[in-house]
Amino acid sequence: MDQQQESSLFDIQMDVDAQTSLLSISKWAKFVAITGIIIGAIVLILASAYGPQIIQAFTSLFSIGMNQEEAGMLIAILVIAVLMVSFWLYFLLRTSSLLNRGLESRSSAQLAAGFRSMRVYFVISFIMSLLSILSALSDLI
Amino acid sequence: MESNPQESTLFELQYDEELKSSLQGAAKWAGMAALVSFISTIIGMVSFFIQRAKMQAMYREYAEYGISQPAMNSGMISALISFVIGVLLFVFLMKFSRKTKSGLESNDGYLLNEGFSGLAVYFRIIGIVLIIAIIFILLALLAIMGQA
Repeated sequence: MDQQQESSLFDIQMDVDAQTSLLSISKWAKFVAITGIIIGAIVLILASAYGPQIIQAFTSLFSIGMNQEEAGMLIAILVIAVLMVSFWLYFLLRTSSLLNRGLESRSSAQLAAGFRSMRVYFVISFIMSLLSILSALSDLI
Repeated sequence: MESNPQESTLFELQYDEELKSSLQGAAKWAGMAALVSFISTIIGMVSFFIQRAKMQAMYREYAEYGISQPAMNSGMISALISFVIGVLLFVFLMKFSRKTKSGLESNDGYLLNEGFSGLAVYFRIIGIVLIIAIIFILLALLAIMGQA
């Protein structure tokens, strides 16, 4: 019985087509992640360079009726958004790197780790889409 | 015919239990992310048309004071492009999720390949959209610098 189970677990081999697709996934995922990280870094640098102007914008928000608690919440939301996008890009980059290493070393364990990273990337994508739905619905209501 | 050594080593990779399980998890969450993202795209589109109608109604009211309505076609075009990209991403991510899950269930390598090719197209679309966006941003920056 054990032998039967073992043979059923090892009966599919990853052919060249699958490996070519995985290599393409790895390359494009790396490009997307690195480009995202560069864009994010530029945005953060600009935000820190124009810090006084941003503070002034917040001050004008206070004057149109936003209290300190609401402004604090807005800043907290921004920080959470930055952290979420950072994790999202990190897991995409990790996916790319693990898939690539797995293909190079022909290690199914590394490929498995790559797909686990990809799962986290999709979980974060799911959460972000859900938040975007909630935000769009709150705008509509 | 002499066998290609690279090809023979490529065939060494196998779907073991750990790989199957992690692939199953990724495919499951990819499907959920695709669905929620598609719903978000549709709601975004509905929201766009509602806001547009509100704006048009507002400008109709202001027309009697001589305030003209600004052109809204560019907004419409970008909303349509976003919608098309959203649909394409949904289709290819869903393809990855469905084909991979059924490939793993039936131990069918062909279905798994189909799933992977869907995911490859999904990431390629995101990459190409990013490249186009960067080109537009650079062109806009050049135009601003030219005017200054």
